[in-house]
Amino acid sequence: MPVTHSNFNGLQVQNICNLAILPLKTKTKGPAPPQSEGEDIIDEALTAFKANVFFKNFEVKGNADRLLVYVTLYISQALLKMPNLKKGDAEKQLFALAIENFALPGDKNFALGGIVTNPANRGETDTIRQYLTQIRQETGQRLLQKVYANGDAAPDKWWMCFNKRKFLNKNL
Amino acid sequence: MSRSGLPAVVIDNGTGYTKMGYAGNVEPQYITPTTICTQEGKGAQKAAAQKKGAEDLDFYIGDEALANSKTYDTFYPVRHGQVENWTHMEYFWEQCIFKYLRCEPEDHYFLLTEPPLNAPENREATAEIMFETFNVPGLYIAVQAVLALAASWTSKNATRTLTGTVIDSGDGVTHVIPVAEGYVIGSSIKHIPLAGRDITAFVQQLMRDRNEPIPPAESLEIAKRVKEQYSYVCPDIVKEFSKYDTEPSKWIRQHTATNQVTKKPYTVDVGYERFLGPEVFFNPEIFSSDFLTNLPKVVDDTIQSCPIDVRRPLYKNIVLSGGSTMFKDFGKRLQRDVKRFVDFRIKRSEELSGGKIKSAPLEVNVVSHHMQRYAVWFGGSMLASTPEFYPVCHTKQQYDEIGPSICRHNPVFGAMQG
Amino acid sequence: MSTGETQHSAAFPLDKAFSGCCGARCVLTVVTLLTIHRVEKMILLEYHNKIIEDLLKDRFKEAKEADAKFDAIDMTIADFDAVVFHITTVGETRNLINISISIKCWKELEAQGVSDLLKKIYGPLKVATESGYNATLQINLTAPPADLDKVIHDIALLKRHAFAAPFYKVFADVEAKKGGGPLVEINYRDDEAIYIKPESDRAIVIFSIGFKDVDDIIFAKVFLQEYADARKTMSNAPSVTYSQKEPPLELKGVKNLKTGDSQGYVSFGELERGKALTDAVLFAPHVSGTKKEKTIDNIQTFRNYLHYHIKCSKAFIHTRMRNRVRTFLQILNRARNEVAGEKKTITGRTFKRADDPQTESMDYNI
Repeated sequence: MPVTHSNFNGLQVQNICNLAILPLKTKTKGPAPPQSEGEDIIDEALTAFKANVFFKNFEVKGNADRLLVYVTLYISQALLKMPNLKKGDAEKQLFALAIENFALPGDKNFALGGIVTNPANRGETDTIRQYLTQIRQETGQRLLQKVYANGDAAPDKWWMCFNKRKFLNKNL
Repeated sequence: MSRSGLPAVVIDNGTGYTKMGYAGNVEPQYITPTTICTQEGKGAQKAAAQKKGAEDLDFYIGDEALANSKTYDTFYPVRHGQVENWTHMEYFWEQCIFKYLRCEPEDHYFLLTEPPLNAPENREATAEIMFETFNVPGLYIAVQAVLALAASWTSKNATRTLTGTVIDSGDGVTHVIPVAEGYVIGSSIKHIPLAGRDITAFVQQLMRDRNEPIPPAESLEIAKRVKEQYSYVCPDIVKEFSKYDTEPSKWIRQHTATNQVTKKPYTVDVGYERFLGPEVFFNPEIFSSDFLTNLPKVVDDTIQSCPIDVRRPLYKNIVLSGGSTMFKDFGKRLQRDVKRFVDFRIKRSEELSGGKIKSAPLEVNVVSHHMQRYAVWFGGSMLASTPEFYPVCHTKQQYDEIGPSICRHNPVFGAMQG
Repeated sequence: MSTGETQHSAAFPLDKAFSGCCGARCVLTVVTLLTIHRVEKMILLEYHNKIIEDLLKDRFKEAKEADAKFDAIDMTIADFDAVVFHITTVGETRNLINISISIKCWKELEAQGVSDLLKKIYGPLKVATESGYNATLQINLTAPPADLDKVIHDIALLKRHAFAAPFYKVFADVEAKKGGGPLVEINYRDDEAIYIKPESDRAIVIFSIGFKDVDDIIFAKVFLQEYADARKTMSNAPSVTYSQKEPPLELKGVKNLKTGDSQGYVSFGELERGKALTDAVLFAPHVSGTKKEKTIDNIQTFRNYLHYHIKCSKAFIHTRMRNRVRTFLQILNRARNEVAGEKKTITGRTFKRADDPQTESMDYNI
């Protein structure tokens, strides 16, 4: 039972740059198809995060897995922003992080460089940027709920202890 | 019991620890580091006139050696399971016998142990010391893995057989040793460079990442404690994490210790390391970057590399030995994971044959028992207290007649005939 | 291997042990007290059973912890002189530990009043004897005595105290100037015995020792001669004689005396009354007590001590042999084939060898 993979790998969805555009349970605007119930990819990544973050190798079995890797790396990045912050401050930090000018598939410094393809055209670039922004925002919000579950004063050490670990030895 | 009516002496000299005691007991009387400290280097500088003639007695062994390591030079006579320095070993035994066990070696039969693949020359050297220095009446040198198999006979669901796969995990290294009818299949032995020490290091790292309030000087000691007291093997780490996060009060434990300097007590939380520590065996990747094959896979590979006619009995009797196999449910998880490899292979071969071949189901059985921690010593203690032991020993008389070469071979005994 | 080497190893322990034997008055004034202690510890064997002491200490330490559970113990261990101890926990609660001892020559010790002695030393600790053993002590984990460490040490000294009985009796006779009592014979091993003979002014202790190995006889002889020599440098050392094959005169009339090549006899002219009494006058009475205790301590472990040092001497010689082999090997490894070519005679003339020097001659560049 090594690394946990995504259960959405077989799902028939639109794919851009080899990333699956999976439905999300979110109120944030974006290109993601809406999902009303059940687990989505963000839930999956958050549940598996603590286990997966220990691993240095990951065999990509489908386009949903690539998205899982992206979300996992984003969680790591988000955790690094949070030490010693109150919930309100952390929220601001995470919001800024979500919408900052981040690397996209095709960019030189994109962390998943080896496993995604370059966007085919301008339209794809826009869609993937919007989709990833949407996913970053939603992930941040859900992560906040988990990390501050025990009070708003300080982040939970049972989450913060993972902020030094690097999934696949990568940073976003 | 021997002619003298006294129990045999059983000494298991491991790389890290020596286990010694009298046969018939369930636990060794002494577990002490295989360490000796002497004045060798320092004594050499002394003028001859200053020598008092008793320098050869000026040494300590075991815990006492470590306690005196500041004023003496410390040596480890056993390396990788094999004796490296016979002089130190001879002195070590001298004190084992006279200072710790307190017996006259002339009155007791001796059972010593050796690692698999030990050279016959080492057995001769052992025999020379035992018969010539100590005049022991009888000596048997047993292979550690075989003793571990014998120790498993105490388990309810074990058969009295000397065929099986021994997983021996101590502090430094983990060995997987296949044994057929009392003889080690040397070419198939495999080892994993992960054992107790690495688990401790991993636990230490996890607790440090969480900034638990442990004084740095005590961090290793606390990690050891946590590993020994709270760790267990879980079936699935993702699910285990969820369990901890939904019900922290049920799973997260508190460990209290006293600061050695300030003498103030402090409390640390013990969480994920409870199951992540032993997980190193099943997912080495989470800790080690250079060794990635998990234990169940190594076990499967080991048995697959053995002659085909012993594979079934080897799968059927996988025996655990050593302190690092003591984690709760270690055996269960190992059995499940090995079984997965086996079932997958059988299914695949059935598919490839196009459904023409049906294999008989293959039984995978991991045996856990109460004597696991000192399994090797216990196996020796048990065998040396049976009447079968005395006839298979090499005697002083034979030694004087023929010489040390008699100890090159030590006959297998104790298994059910059949 | 020369005798010199053997003595090298044997000499020091002897005279040091002597100082212990005859009342810890060390002649080597240069040595500080601290080192005397260390050296003594290094050379002499301990008198108590370490396994029992360590086990009881551990158990009492565990018992102190709050929610202590008592694990069952069932341990059979041996000690010197064919003594067997059996340590068990009693009953459901397992808070009582029984320590039973079995001694081969119990009957002879019984005749010397060992039961009364043990009762006197252990008091309420001594309980009904376990069947198959000779004496049983019991200690309660939940009610540790005030002087726990001392009590534990005393329990570990059970064998020593049991064997002390005949010595106490004979020494008391000597102190009371009652000489000429009967020879006390303790057959403490299969083929070996201790004989204690009270005389009017001293007690003589004779050990008959059987050797299993012929080499041991030689070692023992060298070793014990040193013992006798030690008297020259230490005036208050007891006199020691060693005879082989022939038993000493004191043993005249003893039945079933073993003789032969592998049998040796060591006699100690021990405890001259005059000295014991002077000391008693010089110091407080308990000092003379400790001195007596010390004598019993050492004389009891004499046989084990002798054998221990025979083994140590052998180990020491083996060390030297191994070192010598190592230097020989180094020399062999340095050996190289001589390069063929012109050779010179002592007068400076050169010549060439007719045969092929490459394979014939070796140049030992030592």
